[in-house]
Amino acid sequence: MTPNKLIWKELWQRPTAMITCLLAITLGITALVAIRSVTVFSEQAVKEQLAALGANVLLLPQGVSLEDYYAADSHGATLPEEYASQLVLANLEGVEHISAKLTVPAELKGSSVTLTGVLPQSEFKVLASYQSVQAFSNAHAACKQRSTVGDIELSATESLAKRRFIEKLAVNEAVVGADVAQSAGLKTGDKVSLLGYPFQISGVMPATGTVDDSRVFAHLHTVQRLAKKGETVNVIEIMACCEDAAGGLTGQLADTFPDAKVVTITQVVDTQVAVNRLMTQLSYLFFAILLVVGIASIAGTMFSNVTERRREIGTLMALGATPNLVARLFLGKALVIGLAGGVIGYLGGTVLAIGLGPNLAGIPVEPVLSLAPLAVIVAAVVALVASYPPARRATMIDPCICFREV
Amino acid sequence: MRVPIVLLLGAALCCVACLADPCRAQSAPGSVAFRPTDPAGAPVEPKFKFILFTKENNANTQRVATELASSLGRWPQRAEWTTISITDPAHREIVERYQVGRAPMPLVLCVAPNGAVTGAMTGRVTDKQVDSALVTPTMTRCMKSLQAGKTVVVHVKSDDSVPLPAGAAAFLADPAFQDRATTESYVINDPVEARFVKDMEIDPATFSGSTVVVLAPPGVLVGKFPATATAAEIAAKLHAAGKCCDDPNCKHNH
Repeated sequence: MTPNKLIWKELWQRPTAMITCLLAITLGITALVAIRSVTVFSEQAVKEQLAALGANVLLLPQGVSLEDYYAADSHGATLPEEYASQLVLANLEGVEHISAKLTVPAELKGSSVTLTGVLPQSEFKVLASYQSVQAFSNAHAACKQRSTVGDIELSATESLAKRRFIEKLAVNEAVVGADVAQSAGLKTGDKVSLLGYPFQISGVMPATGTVDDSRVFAHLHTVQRLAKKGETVNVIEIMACCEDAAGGLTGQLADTFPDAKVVTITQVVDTQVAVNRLMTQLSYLFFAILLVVGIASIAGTMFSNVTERRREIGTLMALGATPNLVARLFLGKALVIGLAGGVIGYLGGTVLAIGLGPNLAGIPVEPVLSLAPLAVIVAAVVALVASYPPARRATMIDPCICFREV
Repeated sequence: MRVPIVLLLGAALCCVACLADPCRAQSAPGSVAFRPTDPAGAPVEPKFKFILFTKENNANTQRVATELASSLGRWPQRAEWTTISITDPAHREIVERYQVGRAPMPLVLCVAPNGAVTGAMTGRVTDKQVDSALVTPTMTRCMKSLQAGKTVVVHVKSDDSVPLPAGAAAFLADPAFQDRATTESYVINDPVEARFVKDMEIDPATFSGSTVVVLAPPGVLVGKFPATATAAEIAAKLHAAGKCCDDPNCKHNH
């Protein structure tokens, strides 16, 4: 009989011990894989959100707390609209676009909607060009402003959905979010009445998965007039050309607008990043605990197995089996359990993450293949480490003493 | 006797205050005319016109007006100024023309003789800002084109006989740019353009032949190109200028 056959027989003759060891190792790996999978996709979601929003900075009224970047204009507090023009004229380094917004509640076909006034970029172009003298300075010219030559690539709705600003919008035009369009049965060219004013739908935004889907966007000045809000806005979104520039902008903005609050997108997503970091640390903590429990469980089971099989081991050694062969039998058995535990743990953890991810973190989770080899290797190493002391004890059994016991 | 003396003193102080008020000293409401500077009526060089847009005549407006008057006092032959109240219906046309109805007030715009706005100042008016707005004739033409949304190809040449480089000419003839681009030129030794030469960091002592400077709206230096630059190279640089951190001039790239 070969050692492999002996291992196989041993596993099936003691199914309870095998299942106990397998369970211990599988649970640890399942927890590790599940938490890591959710964390990986959560980190990815944050990265995508950051990439989509770019290096944005928000100028908000003082005292406003911000929980959701996309709802930064839904707090009711206001800033003077002239801050937006002041920003353009200040010609701060790294500012690419400025989007001033004012949000008011409205009714559309009997349903409540959020009407957001947004100032199109075309309103700023003239003011921006008044600082064209900067173009003649050779030092870091491109950081001061960006060329608007290529700004006609995105449609109005795509621009609003993906880049948070709109190039042109007439005073009687409205752009509707995907959910509003679906629920009200609206399409481009339709006419609707909002706050008693007739608007023509100039476009339907693609679904963004944010509160923007349930908004109607119109020209800021029209919304201000209809809502009798004066020349005010709830937020000014500033799209910086890069993260580095956004970082540098905050200080300048705080100096220019001492009565406003300056928040960067990085600060907004910091909360999510902190949650991800916590989940990663938790996954390692869980894993460490389950590792200790697993090692103790496997070691305990293996020790009792060695004790139960003293006579068989003694007989085997009396028949010529070397201590090396005995050790191989126990470690081989541990390796099989470890590999099986790794595979089952990876599969179980992945299924758990796919099922719980959308509910726990609000994100879809897919299998993370890179975790598979890690899970199997870690499980095998844990099983081998836990089985080494019992295997070593088995090799030290004296056949004579065993026979004497018989 | 004490009361009439106090009243007389008060009246005298009011008169002094009115005369010292730079805003009141300017054009009458509804008028966009500027102060005549040559009483003899002799032909004078067109001047840069600084327009102080105001919403209310408060302390801030007074301060800016004083700063502007003081700074322009150094350039009596080159610049003059006036005040425009944006709330005055008589000024609606000029407010709409410059689109400053919702701009922070007080705001000072510098308008070149050709109509280009060469500077905008909010909050404070400093000598540096005023000097910066008094640009050269080629710069005013470039800014006028930039404010019309056009890309400007500036041909800097060693003398009048040097033709526009082939690459720049091809760029201007490209159907993608021909309606959105224009050209300006000047001779490097033209003393009037000394500031432009200095700002562009071109050394007249070592300069020969041509250099092409490309500027894009609203006011971006796309780059300086040698005479050998192709139209494709200029176009590629122009597109890159739309993404400011992709521009090699941007310090964030280093």
